[in-house]
Amino acid sequence: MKDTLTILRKEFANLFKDKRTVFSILFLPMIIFIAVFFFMNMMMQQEEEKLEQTVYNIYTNNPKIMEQITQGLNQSVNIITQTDNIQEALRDSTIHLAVVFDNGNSFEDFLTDKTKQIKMYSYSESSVSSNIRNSVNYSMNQLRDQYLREELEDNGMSASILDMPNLVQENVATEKEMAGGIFGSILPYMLVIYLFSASFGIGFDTTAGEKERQTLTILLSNQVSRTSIAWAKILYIMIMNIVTATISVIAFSIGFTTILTDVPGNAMAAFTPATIAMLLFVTLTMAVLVAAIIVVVGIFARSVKEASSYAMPIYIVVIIFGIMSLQPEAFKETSSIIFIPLINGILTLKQLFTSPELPMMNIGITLLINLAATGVLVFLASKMFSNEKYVFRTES
Amino acid sequence: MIRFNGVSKVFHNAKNPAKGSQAGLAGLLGKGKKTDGKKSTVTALDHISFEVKKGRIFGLLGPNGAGKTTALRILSTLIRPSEGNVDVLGLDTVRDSQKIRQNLGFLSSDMNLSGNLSARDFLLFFGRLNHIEEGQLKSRVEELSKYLEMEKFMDRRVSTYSTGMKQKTLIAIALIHEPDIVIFDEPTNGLDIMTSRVVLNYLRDLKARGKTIILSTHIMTVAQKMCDDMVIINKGKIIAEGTVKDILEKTQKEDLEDAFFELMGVDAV
Repeated sequence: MKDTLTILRKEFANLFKDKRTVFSILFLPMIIFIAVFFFMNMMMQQEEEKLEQTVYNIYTNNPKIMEQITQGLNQSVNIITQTDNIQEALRDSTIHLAVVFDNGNSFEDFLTDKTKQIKMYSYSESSVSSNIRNSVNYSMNQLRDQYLREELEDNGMSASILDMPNLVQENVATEKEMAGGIFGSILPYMLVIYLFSASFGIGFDTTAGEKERQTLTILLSNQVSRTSIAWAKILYIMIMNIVTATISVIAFSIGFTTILTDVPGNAMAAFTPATIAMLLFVTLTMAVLVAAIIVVVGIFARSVKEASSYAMPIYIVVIIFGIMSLQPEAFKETSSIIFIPLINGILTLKQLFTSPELPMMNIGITLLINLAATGVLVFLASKMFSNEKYVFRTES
Repeated sequence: MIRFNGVSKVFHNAKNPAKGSQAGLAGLLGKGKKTDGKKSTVTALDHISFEVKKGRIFGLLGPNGAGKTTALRILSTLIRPSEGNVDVLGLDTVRDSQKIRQNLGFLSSDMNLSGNLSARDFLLFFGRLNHIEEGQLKSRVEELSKYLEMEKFMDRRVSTYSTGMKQKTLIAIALIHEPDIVIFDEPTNGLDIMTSRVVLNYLRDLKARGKTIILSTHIMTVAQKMCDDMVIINKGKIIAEGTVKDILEKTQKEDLEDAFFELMGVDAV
């Protein structure tokens, strides 16, 4: 254990002496996430302002009816009666909407005579065109309701039939469940991605990279046991992937909950002390298992490049399960996935946030299976560090 | 002290049996390579036996690809012999590898240093791995840095070092725990003449302190000056052994370089 800690300290000393690496591992994810959400939010606001300030050019062959339709709109509308080619004018944003009416004097004519047609042209690739199309559609629905209301009253009937019933809606989901649903969907996905992606760089650098640079032989010719070396490398990767994943998840959560949108319910209600403790346990077993996988792959591979290509299929499988977990209903029921190392963590984390009770059985199974798998991989790694076939397997 | 007993080493599908040197392998491919269908095998060492006595400088000589590095790697427990065994201080290199490494200082030509740590960091790290008491370790680091003239670059990152600086650092790392057996594979590689002299003087010093030194080199002048006993190997087999005097007598030559070429079947210039 003492030797493991000595090697671990050396790995961190080497890491922390490189300010750029420390910045890119520890601070860059946080800056990137917050910046991304900040810019997304800014762009959305700019788009809203742009739509509010735009004067919408609508071509029509019947300005009278068009004015009737658009008079209730909030947007500024400019009605145009001349255009050479509707499609081209829409594409080059000379006009934003075209509404072509059959013969008629008012909108009511088109409600009562279904042989008459209104043809509306818009350009879905333009947000301005889509926006005014929706507004005009809404306005026409309003005019239809108004006409219907007047017709009913003229015939001595109450127009209240058109109103919605006195509907009282109540959501029985607790604040914890509402917030948990969001975190339960996103957290497992985020965690597995960052546990892996954070491990790739430093993990393969400290294994396959050391082989490539011929720096591993010095350590191996020393009296230190191979198991100590394997554990030191695994712990180093594990600590770094947990730190990176935690920072990334926190940064994402900050961006997601405060900058971009409101999470339904109280976001913090999902994080009870018991949930946090279990989240920590499950994440730790996933992190140590990912680190052990990376070490075994890194020792086996001839180079960092080869190690990355070997690890990619495992990463893709994990991402697929992560994406599946984004579906609200996915992994709510326990299945045989609970027996697959690492993947079981995704299922358990999802249930941790979405189940009313703590899924203690699943947490137990996940811890047991992941730690057993890690033990096997540590044993394998220590054997590989003693085996010349792997230690001296390089591309040079 | 150290005994190679009929040691052979065969690499299967070996691209790189010794140190990743295709040039080194080329020499082996002549007689050593056998092809069996798709698999190829390279015999890097072929039943070699020799003994190294305590407190002497023992030379392991041979051309590139002769099997020197393979022999030293077996001795330093990094690889296992395919046949035979190596006895070090009464311990077996396969069964007792960790105990043997406690008494070994190994410098190989394929070792390298990289990263952000300094020579001092590396020396302290390897000293701690060898469980040297902290106060003793610091004075040992100072002693080595002074003797090997490393003071000027002790606290610089190794990534900024020249080949010579790295070689000195690697030598200091191999010696940090004052091992009884020192194995140096081409220790003067990349060193200028002044630094080479410092290193060779230090080896003599170690011998005077009762250490056993195994020196692999292809520089015959160094071998002639330094080695008490030696074996010359070629294509994995011992072709001569004994003291320098024994080898000169055997080949009827006046210096070791001529004797070496004679044994290799090559005319000296």
